[in-house]
Amino acid sequence: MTASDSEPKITPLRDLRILVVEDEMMVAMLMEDMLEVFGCKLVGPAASIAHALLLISTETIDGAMLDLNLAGHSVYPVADELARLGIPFVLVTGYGNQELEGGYNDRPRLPKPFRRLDLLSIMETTFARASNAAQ
Amino acid sequence: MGTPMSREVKASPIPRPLPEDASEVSHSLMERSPVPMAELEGAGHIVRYVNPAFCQLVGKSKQALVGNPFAETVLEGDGCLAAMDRVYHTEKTETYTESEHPGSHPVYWSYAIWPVLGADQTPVGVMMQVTETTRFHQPAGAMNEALVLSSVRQHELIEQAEKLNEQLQAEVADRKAGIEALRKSEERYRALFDLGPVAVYSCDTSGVIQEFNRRSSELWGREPASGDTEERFCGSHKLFRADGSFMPHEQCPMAEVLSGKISETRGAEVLIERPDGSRITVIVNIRPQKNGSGDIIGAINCFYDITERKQHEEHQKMLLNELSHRVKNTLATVQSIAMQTMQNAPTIEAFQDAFESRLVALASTHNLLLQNPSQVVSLRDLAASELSHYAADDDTRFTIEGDDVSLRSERAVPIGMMFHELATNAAKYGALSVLSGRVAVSWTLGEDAGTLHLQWVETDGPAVKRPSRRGFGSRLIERGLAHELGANVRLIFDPCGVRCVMDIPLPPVAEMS
Repeated sequence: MTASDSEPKITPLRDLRILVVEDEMMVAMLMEDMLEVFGCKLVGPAASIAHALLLISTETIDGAMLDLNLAGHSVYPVADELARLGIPFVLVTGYGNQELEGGYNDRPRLPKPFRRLDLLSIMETTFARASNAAQ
Repeated sequence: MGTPMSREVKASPIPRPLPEDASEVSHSLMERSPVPMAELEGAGHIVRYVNPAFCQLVGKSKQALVGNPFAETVLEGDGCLAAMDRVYHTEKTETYTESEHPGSHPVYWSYAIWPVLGADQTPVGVMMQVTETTRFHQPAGAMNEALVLSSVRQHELIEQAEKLNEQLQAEVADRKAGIEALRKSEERYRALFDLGPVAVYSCDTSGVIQEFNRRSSELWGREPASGDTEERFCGSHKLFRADGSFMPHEQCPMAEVLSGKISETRGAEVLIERPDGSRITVIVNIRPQKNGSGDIIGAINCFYDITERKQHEEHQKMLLNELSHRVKNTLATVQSIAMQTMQNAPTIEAFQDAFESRLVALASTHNLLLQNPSQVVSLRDLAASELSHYAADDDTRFTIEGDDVSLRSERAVPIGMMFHELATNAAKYGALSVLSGRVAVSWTLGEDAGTLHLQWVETDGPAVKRPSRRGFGSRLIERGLAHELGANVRLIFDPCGVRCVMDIPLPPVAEMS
């Protein structure tokens, strides 16, 4: 029952280098598994803002999945840096549809918990440009 | 003037007629006198002689008068007759004044009556002379009347004055009582004004602060100078709108009520910044004061502090957000456990067993966290809780040794799951799968107490074989802990027993890389 799920599939996200910023160990592992299925190359995961910023400055990144709350700290510094570099990102949040600071209300948002198909869909939409460029 | 005549009269004794010769002389004198005179004889006062002036006075002829009693002919009143009787009997001269009131003005008559003695020096009659003295009496009478009138008037005035005085006294007493009541009422309102929990101040029409109570200055954090024309509308240092934007004093609700731009303010939320920089949120209520013709002459502002309520609301909102965050993360964690358990389970039954026990392990860690109000859990309790699923409390196969360390939620949950995975593995394949096996959990704190050195050591169990593929437990311990806690983790499959050695940083891990 596990073999077919773990086989990488041909998707528009194949070989995209995706940064995962998530402090919850199990959620990060879940994301990791799903990205593997989508054929993405994982960057991270980073559990802290400092680690995330380090990875952004040292790795090639096509897109990012950002948990909004990192152990009580807001992920905005990481989002700001990605926005500055023009790298697309999705905000992953356990909060409802609350107002976000710094004009991030318009950014794609994925509520926790999420279905694989919802993750795939929002990643395809958000990272389409990056995806096209990569193919 | 009558003295010589009297002497003559005395010469005639009663009841004899008056001597003719003497009478003739005196009568001729009296005939030409302008003063009315009469000569009366005996105790009955019979008229013997009257002069023309007398006849003119009484309006009767000499013939009608002479020979008749005086009382019948010229009755002038009892007073006159009584005086004549007295003079006749006492021989002493009398004068007598009497008044008549024929019209609005009294007429006064003065009588001079003296005795006429006979030759034997006994009275034979009396002489009477009548003079009208109205002229003399008039001014006196008028004066008297005026005096009486003025006395009456004075009395009336005094009475009136007394009445007025009484009224005045009553009014003064009323006024005093009123003033006292007002003073008490003012005192009451002053106490309410000063001691009430609501801040109150008033402005005149130009916004100059007239009065403010203690609570106002407490909330403002300062005391404006009363009546200071440089400072208008509000005694605060700075004002901000509820959305946090700066609000100049001349745009504050008080200014708008005074200008008539808005009729009044009820329940408006305003932020006050005090001179020390602290900010409070207040609810403002302002009503204008108007004069009789409806012009605004000032306004009163009642405001109160809701900072605590605001903070409470914010805190509640934050708690709800935090709750939402945790619940969703926990659900995502469960989702992750389910998926990973599924990937590694050879059968549905194996999946069920593993998934259930992992959920229970997760729940027991949360239980431990919730038992403590500060949401920390002791490392010892955490280890004991996970091991207790596989060995009784009195089981001597495992030992737990270490200093007291409290863990917050973000470290307790992964460490609890790690204990669960190690214990499950030990119970299935390792030291806890046989009676002779031992598990020693021990830890020490690094010198700076910033690092927790944690060891899991299995001995005397079956020989350990390195697993052919990396399962959920290994992945969680080796990568998960390293990831979430920034820990340095070594999981060693020593043939003598599984060992796990971890260096876990204890300060907040969020900024660790």
